[in-house]
Amino acid sequence: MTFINYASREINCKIVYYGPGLCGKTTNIQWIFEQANPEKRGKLVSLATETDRTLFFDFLPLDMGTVKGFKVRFHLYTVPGQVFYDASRKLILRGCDGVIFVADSQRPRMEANIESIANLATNLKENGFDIRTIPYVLQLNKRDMASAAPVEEMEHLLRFRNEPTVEAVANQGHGVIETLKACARQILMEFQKG
Amino acid sequence: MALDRTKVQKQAESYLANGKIEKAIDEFLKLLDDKADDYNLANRVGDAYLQIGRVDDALAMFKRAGSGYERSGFTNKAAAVFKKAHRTVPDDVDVALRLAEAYRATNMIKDAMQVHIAVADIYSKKGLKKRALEEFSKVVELEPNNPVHKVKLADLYNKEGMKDRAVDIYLEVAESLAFEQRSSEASQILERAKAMTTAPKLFLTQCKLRVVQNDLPGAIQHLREGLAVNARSIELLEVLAETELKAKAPERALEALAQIPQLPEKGVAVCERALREMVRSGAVDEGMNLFKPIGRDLSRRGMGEQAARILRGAFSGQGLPLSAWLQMADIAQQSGDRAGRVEALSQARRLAEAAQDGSLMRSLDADLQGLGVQGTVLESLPSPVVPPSMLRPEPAASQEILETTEVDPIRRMQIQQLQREAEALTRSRSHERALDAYQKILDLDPLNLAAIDGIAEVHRTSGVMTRVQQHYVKMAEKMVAMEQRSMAIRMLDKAEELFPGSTRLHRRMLGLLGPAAPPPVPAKVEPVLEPVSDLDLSIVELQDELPTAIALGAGEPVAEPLPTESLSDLDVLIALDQTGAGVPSSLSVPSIEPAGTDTVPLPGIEEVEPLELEPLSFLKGIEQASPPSEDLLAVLSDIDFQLDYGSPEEARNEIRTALETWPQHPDLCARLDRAEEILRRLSPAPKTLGEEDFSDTFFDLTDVLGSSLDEGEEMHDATHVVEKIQSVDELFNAFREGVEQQVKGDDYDTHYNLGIAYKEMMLIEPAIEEFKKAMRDPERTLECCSMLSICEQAQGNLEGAVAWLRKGIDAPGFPPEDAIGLHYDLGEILAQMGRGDEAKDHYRIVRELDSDYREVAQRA
Repeated sequence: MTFINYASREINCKIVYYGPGLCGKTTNIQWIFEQANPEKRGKLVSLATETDRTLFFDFLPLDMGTVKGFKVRFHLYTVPGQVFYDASRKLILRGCDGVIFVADSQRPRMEANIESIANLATNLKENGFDIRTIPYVLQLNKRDMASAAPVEEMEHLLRFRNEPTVEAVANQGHGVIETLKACARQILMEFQKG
Repeated sequence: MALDRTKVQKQAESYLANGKIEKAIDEFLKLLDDKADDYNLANRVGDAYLQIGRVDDALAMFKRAGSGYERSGFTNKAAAVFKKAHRTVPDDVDVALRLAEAYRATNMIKDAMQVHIAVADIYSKKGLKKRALEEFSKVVELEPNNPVHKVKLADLYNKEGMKDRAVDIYLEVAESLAFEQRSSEASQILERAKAMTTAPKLFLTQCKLRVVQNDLPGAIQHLREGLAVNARSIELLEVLAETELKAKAPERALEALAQIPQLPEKGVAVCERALREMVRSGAVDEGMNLFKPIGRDLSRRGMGEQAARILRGAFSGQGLPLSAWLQMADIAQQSGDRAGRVEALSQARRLAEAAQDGSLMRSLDADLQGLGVQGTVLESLPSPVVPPSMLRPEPAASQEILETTEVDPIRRMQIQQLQREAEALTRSRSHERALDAYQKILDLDPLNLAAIDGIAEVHRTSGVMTRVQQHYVKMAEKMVAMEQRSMAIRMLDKAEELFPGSTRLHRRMLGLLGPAAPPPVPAKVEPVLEPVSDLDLSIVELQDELPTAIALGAGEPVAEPLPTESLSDLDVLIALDQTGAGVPSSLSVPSIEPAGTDTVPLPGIEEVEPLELEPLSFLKGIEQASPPSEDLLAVLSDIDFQLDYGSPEEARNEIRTALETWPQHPDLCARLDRAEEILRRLSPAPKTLGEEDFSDTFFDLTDVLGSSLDEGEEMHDATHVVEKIQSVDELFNAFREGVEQQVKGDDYDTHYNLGIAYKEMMLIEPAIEEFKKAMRDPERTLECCSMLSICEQAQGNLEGAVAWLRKGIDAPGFPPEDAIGLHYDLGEILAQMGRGDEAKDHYRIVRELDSDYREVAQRA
């Protein structure tokens, strides 16, 4: 649910990057951070564990300007991908306005992608959201990998609601901004409807 | 109709002369309307307004004149007009700032500083402390070399509770004083900062001061002190690496760099220099070991090329040794660069052959086969003759193993059969039987890498990663017993991959830290055999298409990387092999040519002294306090490993055993306490506790430590990356600790955003803390009060919510319309609390300010 604070005249939209371990969620928001106008971006809060995995969540606030006197901000979050940090993921999904699912295109990771989508559906449901209706984008990341599965095959396995699908190589920035735009568009449309 | 300017001017002057100022102004305004850029006239009109006491109009006219002069480049005139305006209305910040700007433009620095100080005073009186400080900081900007102003500004920041900014300035001043050789003054200023912070920047400045005094050990000491309180601070580690390098300790520089989770660009350059220094000083193996985690990290982040460049740079002017090629292969693997990996493995294989390291050759062949490169290409290489000094001596025992396992075709078939059986058993989840089958393979061939990895894989499926790690360590011990040092190192590397830092002790105990036998020098290797086997013929048939493959087969070891075109040729060969057009698969297992070893006299085995790891100096103090014996150190290290990697029960047992030898030893007792604490934490809650017992805690621990998990187990996900299980609150605490290190206290924007993030997750208490931090920025008072009120409401504390809103409404320095939302929200809460009259008061205020505001019309 988009958080509107009339008193401070702010609208905060929360976008969560979800996906299996090492699929490139943090890489996505790191790229966005690097590309964003320094005046329009907040600090990227990104902490890693000793094994270089996301600690709890990454967080990047983006200032999207002013609409009708309200400051609009997008808050980008990533979740930890490891299967056993489910409680953290559930927590981070609270109050989200949109989800970007970052799928790892490498064929051996397909099962992990599917498991992660199932996990997303469960966690969204527990937070009162429906994966079939929430603003949602599927990003097929790591398209440059030798073992990448064909797009059609991935879509067949991972796409379930005609959601926008973006091919990406996040560490080179390909598809990263497009993905964010696709999600932001849906959120703003929902917001207008509301 | 055109205005007769002369006539109007005369009329205006006449009015002025007769004291009819207002009429004169009317005439002047006609002239101004006609010629808007007559700034002299605007100035005169301003004066006229002043004469009749219309100060606001006068001010507007002066501003118009001043701005016009400014735009036209008449800065002196602009300064004069603004000065007049400033004198008229000293509290007008806009005029004062324009005057300061005009003074700056005319280089009247002292005057500009005075105006800024006056503006700071205005802000200060209005309660806008932050703006006041910003204004004062402009004074500092105007005279940047004046430490007195800077220190005063820092004192003001400190007084306002903006300690981080104050510390930054103190440190900056201390540094600049040190550069001016004013050491005692620098120390005095530094003392103020030391009393306020233990952040990395303090230690970095201390380090800089030492460097200025050319005291590198002192600088390093400060950095290590900093690391003791800011563990894994990237800034400190980076500077430490640089300083260690300057102090001619490249190995410590690499050690420091290896601790940085994501090595930044600057660190890469230091890394290259450090590694080069180590190579130059002959400490190749140690350098390789220290570089390994760095190279792997870079590759994983898509900077494999950079990692490879570091390695090549370190060995520039000479060929890469075997250990470097092995790392190149690792880097290529991490980078997903198949061709690069094939190249590196091929080069390593060639050098292993030159060194007659049979086990490594077999392992490399297996890797190459795994990549689809059949052994024939490499097998066909003639055995090179290597000067005796370059060969790594192999003891008779291992020679025997090689001969019996490699030459005996029946045994090989048995192994293949067992391998298939073990794989099938693994697939069918008959783990015990699979382990038996793999063990049988190892009985036949103790160096069979596939079996070793197979056992690891079986353990891995159990999810207990310590077993996998211990398996590799045990195998390393066996390899050492068989004098297979390089294989032993590979085993430890695999263990290390699972638990970074876990094999340090084993390496020391097994003597695998010291320099290995000198690598072979490829340039001196010459072929003794011509490629005459059937295998070679199959390649020769492809000669036209695959010149590089043939070049590889010609037995001339290539020290430098293959040219790009040759890589593509090699790819063609691989592709052909994969489609069956190349070498028959039955010939894929390369065999070792015993003749090669027979013809070369072996030198005696040189004893390699185990290299003691230098403990980090910031730990030295701890150790010196109670120097434990070597044995105890080893035991403590084992215990630490178990504690760190989730085997607290084993740790407890080991501690109890050790306490029999070292009764009441404080280090052991402390660890016993830690183990007990971990075990207590991991114990399931007693059944007598009901759900209500957890009602006060937000986090559901059972969500994290699911009932299906065994206590104390590590978990791994499909990527096989091991993490300790942590509950959400542990994770969150670790996260917040990290945030505190990353986010400065005066980074109000980030604190505010974090507050929103936490609030969205319903982590209300932490959210409140963040908003309170953000509220130190006076300009955020209203937003923060609003958010704090929302947080209090979320906790059901409506009185608290009311208090925050009132605080926001009463905050000084804000126009009433800015607080309209706070009034409305306050009305809502008061109405909710049944205090209708009070609520209506606030709704009325809202309606007066904006009658269309939300639903105020109905509420009021």
